[in-house]
This record gives sequence, structure tokens and C-alpha cells, in this order.
Amino acid sequence: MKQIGIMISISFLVFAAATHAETIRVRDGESIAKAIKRASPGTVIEVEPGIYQEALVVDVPNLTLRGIVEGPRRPVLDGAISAEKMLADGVIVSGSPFTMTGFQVQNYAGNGVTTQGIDGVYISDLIVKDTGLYGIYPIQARNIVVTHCRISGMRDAGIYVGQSNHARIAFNETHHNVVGIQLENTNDAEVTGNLVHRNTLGIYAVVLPGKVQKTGARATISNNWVTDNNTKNFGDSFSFIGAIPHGAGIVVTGADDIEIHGNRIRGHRSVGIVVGRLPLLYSKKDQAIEPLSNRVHIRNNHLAENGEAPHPKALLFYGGVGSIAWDGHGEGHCIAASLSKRQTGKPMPHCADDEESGGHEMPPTSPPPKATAPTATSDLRGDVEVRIRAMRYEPREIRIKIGQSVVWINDDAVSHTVTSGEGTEPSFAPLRSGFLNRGDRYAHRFEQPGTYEYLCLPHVDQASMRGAKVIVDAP
Amino acid sequence: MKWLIPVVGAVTVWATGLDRPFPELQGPEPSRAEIQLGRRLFLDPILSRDGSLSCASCHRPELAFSDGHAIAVGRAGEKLKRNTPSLYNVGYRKHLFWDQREHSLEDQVLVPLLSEHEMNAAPETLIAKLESDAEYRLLFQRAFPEQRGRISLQKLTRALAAFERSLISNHSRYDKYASGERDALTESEVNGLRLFRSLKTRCFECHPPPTFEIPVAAAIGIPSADEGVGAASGNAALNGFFAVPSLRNVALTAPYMHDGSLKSLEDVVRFYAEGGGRRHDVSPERIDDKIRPFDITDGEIGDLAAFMRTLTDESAWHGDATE
Repeated sequence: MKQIGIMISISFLVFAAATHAETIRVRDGESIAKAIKRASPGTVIEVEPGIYQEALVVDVPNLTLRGIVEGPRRPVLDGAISAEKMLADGVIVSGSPFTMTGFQVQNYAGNGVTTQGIDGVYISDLIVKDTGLYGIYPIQARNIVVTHCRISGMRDAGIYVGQSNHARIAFNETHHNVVGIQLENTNDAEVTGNLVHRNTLGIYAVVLPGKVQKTGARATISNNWVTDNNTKNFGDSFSFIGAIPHGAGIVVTGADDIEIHGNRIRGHRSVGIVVGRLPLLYSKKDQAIEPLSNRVHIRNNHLAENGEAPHPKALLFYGGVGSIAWDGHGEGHCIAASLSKRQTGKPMPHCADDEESGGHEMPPTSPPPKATAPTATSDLRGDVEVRIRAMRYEPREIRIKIGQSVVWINDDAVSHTVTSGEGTEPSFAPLRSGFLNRGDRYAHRFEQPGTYEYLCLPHVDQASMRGAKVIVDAP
Repeated sequence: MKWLIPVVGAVTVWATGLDRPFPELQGPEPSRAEIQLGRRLFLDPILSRDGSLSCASCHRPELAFSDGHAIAVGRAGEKLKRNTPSLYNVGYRKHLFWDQREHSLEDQVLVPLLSEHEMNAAPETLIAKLESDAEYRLLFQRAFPEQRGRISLQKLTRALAAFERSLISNHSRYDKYASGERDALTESEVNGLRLFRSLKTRCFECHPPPTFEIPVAAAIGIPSADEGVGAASGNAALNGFFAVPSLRNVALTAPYMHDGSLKSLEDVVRFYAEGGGRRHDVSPERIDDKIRPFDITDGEIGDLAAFMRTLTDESAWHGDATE
């Protein structure tokens, strides 16, 4: 009898091998969880626009959850199952690797998307709103790519990479979270081209005690737009994160070998960039961590309007206020050509290879890596073309008919964006290009009449790069 | 027959993402002869001075090598300090004891062996007793063929440690589920596993698969005068911290926590749901910031406990010395 059982299970194995990489389509009103139950390694689950009130668990290896995006419509994972009750988690993933694109995830009590202990996390084009503590939370993972996501409303971090290795966090927008993007005890990370605004703290690279992985080393934080992270802290009062004072741009605490370059850091009430040690209160809890930050290199950032109304606890917590604060701890730090020289605490040494230590305004010297969003490829076409060249949109104002599309093409060497917004205030809808490098295109089809004003995020302080318009005539 | 049904019923046979490799064993690879000798010693009250206690008196095989008491009971019924931990998968541990004060099993076994409150062995007398036993002489010779000569305390601790390293638990219903038998767990247990990995409960943060523990100390705020790792290390910042225990076979090791103060798995879940020590006016420095109150229904508590019960090993050894 036992042998029969084994034979049957072998035949299942053959069957399983033969049916990999199938595609399952989930339609509005159907269950994604049921589709996941049927999935085998390699399965792609395509989900049509609609509301899905589910908590998903992915244990099967190599699953793809692909939301079908049709203009403004996309599938929404919604945890608010009644007026009083929210589900705890949007997606919990233990199967490696895992790919997820094109969803909105909202209204969960604990977390949006968490991946636990897996190798290969590929997340892009998610809109994550109000999902409790974290929006996207890879923990003890490796080989992580999170791009083109928009995350808001988290009581902890929008994107939180914990105890992981090899992470690329690029071209995301995080706003109105306590922390925009956090690297906790994470090695070999790149945080680039993100728009991080109106959080309590913008980008946080930290080494915390009591974790399995003890180091946070080798991160590049480059070409991010970090602005107005002054939101009052709404984290849990007893948590580490709940205690951080608002108004900080990029903070490095205890992490080593960090390159901070080409960022635009602006409008933080407390401080623009912080380099410091982990407070004794925390470092004493773990003898195996090295609490000092070492070798943090700050080059060619554009700092403006930071430190003008510091939080009362900022000086104590960050070790300084103003543009750049360094507490004097650690070795091998240097600073080069950041716009503002205002600095509190100890002055940081200049980088040895710095030829332009005077500090002047300059665009990011190393352009962000090529955007991978479907909206920023080079073969997009539109009914009307707008070129971005010599720091202006040409033509600055266009008039089109309903249903026509516009394509923007960047001819400049520096990166630009096409972002909805009036004056200097971005609203991010409906135009939201992400960073366009030279030659990149971004297209949008206009379905409603009206006047659509837009701006360029990195250059909004230049009159030619804001107030541009698309006027869509009523039929 | 008992095994056939789940095999036939299995929907899939590929490993899931939960099927993860165990870490490397700490210390030397145990040999078969060492394990055999160690097992024999483990069960033999000859190790205690008055012949009243064996290792297995407190580490009872049928209770996953725990003892069922809140606080361990020593020689002549004396109440000791802390709850007796399970020994399953102890070979993976980098730190031993609730307060993490020992770092190798060879050093650790000496503590209960020589403690006047526990086995109270006198090394010279014990060695002499073992030497006078022909069977032990043979077993020691087989276990340590290259080290001729007398039985020594070092060989004895090595053999006991080898036996402990052989106590691997990786064959539970959960493991079947992790290796792809989707029907190995009931719906309630699968829901419990989901809750276990939820950011609501955050169980997984300190008890991740496959060992369901991490090699760090943590503070959860059990009200207790015991300073744990703080006292052992002399580092007051770690007062109230204790080693994170494995949840493998946890259904067999009640009552729970370093002081045995929580009677059931359901009580443990309720303790965490109330925010751990936050509910008991324990100072915040003695509570990990991941521990925070959460809403949980009785049904969910039941599911979570049901999941934890799936971590009981189905091939567990129940103390048969003749194996």
C-alpha cells in the first residue's frame, strides 16, 4: 500500500513539472487567494481591475502577481472589510522569488506587502496606502528591487528593508509616512531617484540592536528628491521610530560606507543630512554591533532651507541642526561640494578628491540609472510632442483634443520629471513621470477636459520648469 | 495506513518557500558511538552523587526534554531558578541557558552535573564508578577509540553534548506542509500560520522557520525580578532579556516563559496581544518595541495555538534507550 502512495506522488511530480509557468486570470469578483492555491512554481496570476478584499499568503516559489493597469484603473487589495474591521496584512510572502506589479494595496492594520526570508523580491508600480506599520517590508531577504511604487500613510516606514542584502530602491515616491525609506541592518543597498517628501524623516540608514544581522554597510543614497519631511511623528509612542523628531532629510545612524550624492534635500525644519552614532541607550543592548557610523561620503548634494525651525528634541536626537549635522563620531567621513556649508557640531573634513570644495549649485553629476517604468521607455509615441531641452518645456503650453495623448521627451543631459502640480507644489496626479534621463519618454492620454499644469520636481525652483500646461478642449 | 492518506491526499509535491535549510550545527559533528554513549549517560542516575537524578529526570524525552514544571526542580525537591528548556535542536544554539551564559554544550552540561542544587556529582567518584562498569568502559572505548586511557570528565561531557546535538527536530506536520503537502495542515492551522507571519502578531520576527528561534536575547516584559542576560553579562542594559526559545515541540513544553508563568499557548498569545509587559507596568526598556497590543479574536487565538501544535515532531524520541 505504501508503494502505491509513493507512485501516486511521483506522478504528481511529473504533472507538476509539465504544467509550470501557466497564467491564471482573476476577474473582478473572483478571489486572488483561490488562484494562489492553484498556483505552481512559475505561475503568473493576472488580476483585472476591481476591489479584492483579501489577505494573501504566497508560499509557492516564483509566483508573479500582475495587476492589469488600464489607465487609472487597477486591481485594489482592500483590507477594510467592514466599517470597524481591517484585515491585518495585504500580502505575506515566503516563496522565492516573488514578483508583484500593478496593484493598489490599502487599508490593512499591520502591513502592505511583507516578504520574509526570501531570495528575489521584485516589486514595482504598487500604490500602497494606509496599511499600518509598513508599506513594503522585505525582512531577512536578499536581491530586492522596489521601483516605481507610491507609498503613504505608514506609522513606521513606507519602504522598510530589514536585515537584508542587495537591495535597490529606485524611483519610488513615499510621502506622509513616519519614515519614507528605511534601511535597517541592511548591506549593499542603493536608494536612488526616489521622491521622498512630507514624511517625519526622509531616508534613514540605521543599525539597530538585537537583530540577527548585525551590520548595515555599503549603501548609495543618490539623486533622490528629499523635501519637506516635517510631518509630525504619528508612530507608536513606545517604539523606536515613534520617538524621532520631525524635520530630517537623510539620516545615517551607525551604518558604514555610505555614499550620499546628487540628492536635493530641501525644506527640513530640523536638519538636512545627519551622520551619527547609535545612541548609547540602544547600542548597549547589543555587544555585537558597531554603533559608530564610518566612512560616510557626502558629495554634490543640493541642500536648501534646512534647519530653519528645528524640533525641540532635534539637537539632542540628531546631534545637530541645520544643513548637515555630524556628532563627531566615526572615521573616514568626508564632504564635498554640497551647496550649503552651514553645519553644526564638528565640521566634516573635505573629500580628498574634491576639486570644487567651494560648494555651488550643480545638477546631480551621476544621472540616475535608466528608468524601467513602462511609462518611461524610448519607443512611446503621442499625438503631440513636448521636448524638454535647456531647462524648459517646449512648447510650454499645448492645446489638444480629448482622447489625444502627449509624449514628453527629455533632450537634456540632466534628469527631469513631468509631474502634475500648481506653482511649486506637486500634486502627482494625473501626470507622474518618474525621473526621465536623456532620451527617455513619458506619455499620457487625456480623457477629461481641463487645464493640466505640471512641473519638474528637481528644478521646480526655476520658473521655466514649472507652470507648463496641457489644455484639453471639451468635444 | 496512517501515512498513506496524507501522501495520496497531497495536492502538490514541490517544496514551498517555507522549506528552508537549517543552520549549521555548532560544535563537532557527533559520531554514532558518541551519541550512543551520550544517550546512555543521559538516562543514567549514576551521574548524580546520590543516584537520584539523571539528566532525563528534568529533561523528559516524552515532554520534548522539558519537565512540565513552571520552575525546574532540583535535588531532593528543591525549587531551582527557571523553567526547564527543551533540548530539541539545542545543537544549533550559539548561546545556552535562558541567560545565554554558556556557549558550548560541553561547558553547559557541567553546570547541572556539578551544581550542588542539581546532580551534585563529585567528578573523581563519578569517573571511578564509570570505570568500574564494564559496559561503560566498552562504550567509552568505542566512542573515543583514538584517546586511549581512562574515562575523563572531558570525554563524558563530549558524549553528552554529542547526544544533545543528535536531538534534531525537523519532522512535524508543519514540515510536511513546508515541503509541499498542502493538506498536511487543517484550514485552522494554515490560518494560524498566516497569523504567525502577520505584522499584527509579529511572531515570525523572533521565531522564523525553520528553527523557530533566533540566536539573540529579547525582552518581552514578563514581570519578574530575574534580570536574565543582564545579570549574567553584567550589562544592565540587558536586564530582563532572555534567550529567544525555539517553538519546535512547544505544545509539549508547557508551562511557558523563563519563569513558567504562562500555562498554555493560548495564554501566551493573550499575553502578547495585551502588549506583553506593557499591560503589567514593566518599564519600557525591558520590552522590545516590536511588542505592542493587537486585536485578536478567540478564534484567531485558537488558530494560532493550533498552528504551534503542528510543530510537534512526529518522529520524536520518547526515551527508549535500546534504539
